[in-house]
Amino acid sequence: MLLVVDVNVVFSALINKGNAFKVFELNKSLDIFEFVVPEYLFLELGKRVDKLLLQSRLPKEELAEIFAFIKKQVNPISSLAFLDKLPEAIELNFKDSQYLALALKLDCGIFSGDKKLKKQDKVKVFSPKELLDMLEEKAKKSEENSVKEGKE
Amino acid sequence: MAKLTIEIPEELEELAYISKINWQLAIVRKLKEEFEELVRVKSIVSKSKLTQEQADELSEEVNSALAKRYEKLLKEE
Repeated sequence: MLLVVDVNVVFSALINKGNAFKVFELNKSLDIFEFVVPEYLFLELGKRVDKLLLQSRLPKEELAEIFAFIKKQVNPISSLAFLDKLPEAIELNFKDSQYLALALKLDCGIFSGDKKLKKQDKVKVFSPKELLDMLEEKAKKSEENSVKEGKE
Repeated sequence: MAKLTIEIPEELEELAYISKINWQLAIVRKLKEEFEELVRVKSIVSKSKLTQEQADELSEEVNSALAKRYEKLLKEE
């Protein structure tokens, strides 16, 4: 399942015992979701690293390792691919227009913890809890199948 | 010791034959790398002091900057 990732869940993945990290963690093994981001997301995120280091109190190398872990799971998409959908997206929500435009272009949903983003009906928005439930359900089914195959 | 059965795609089988791959070794090594990475990142996140409020504030900043950047690109089109 293809999903556009809001930077909101990338930051939330740094919260201890948060659902956002668990989604990236489980999806690494189960590979249910294919994540994409607008190409400048990590560039803008990079400009806030100093603030992030201060607030998370993590060493620079460890923060870098988390971002490398997440980056391996997301594909950046060039603006050329979805710029034509931006006017429509801006009408829905200016601040999140880059995600909405990309999602409209790819005809997929958005992975975000932003409740305000759900206040439109053109693009489906999945919260970290919703994706985690889907992953845990899949993990449970895989385990049941393995047990069944082991018995056969 | 747990046992694992996997299906190897034909193209990979041919490649492995040419490279004389030891499947057992290659797969165990790869699994070890993956698990060690997962354990490491989980341990790092468990030490993080970032709050949801801080994460939301940072997201707002990034998203506003991104929205302005993309709007500018649209105008330049």
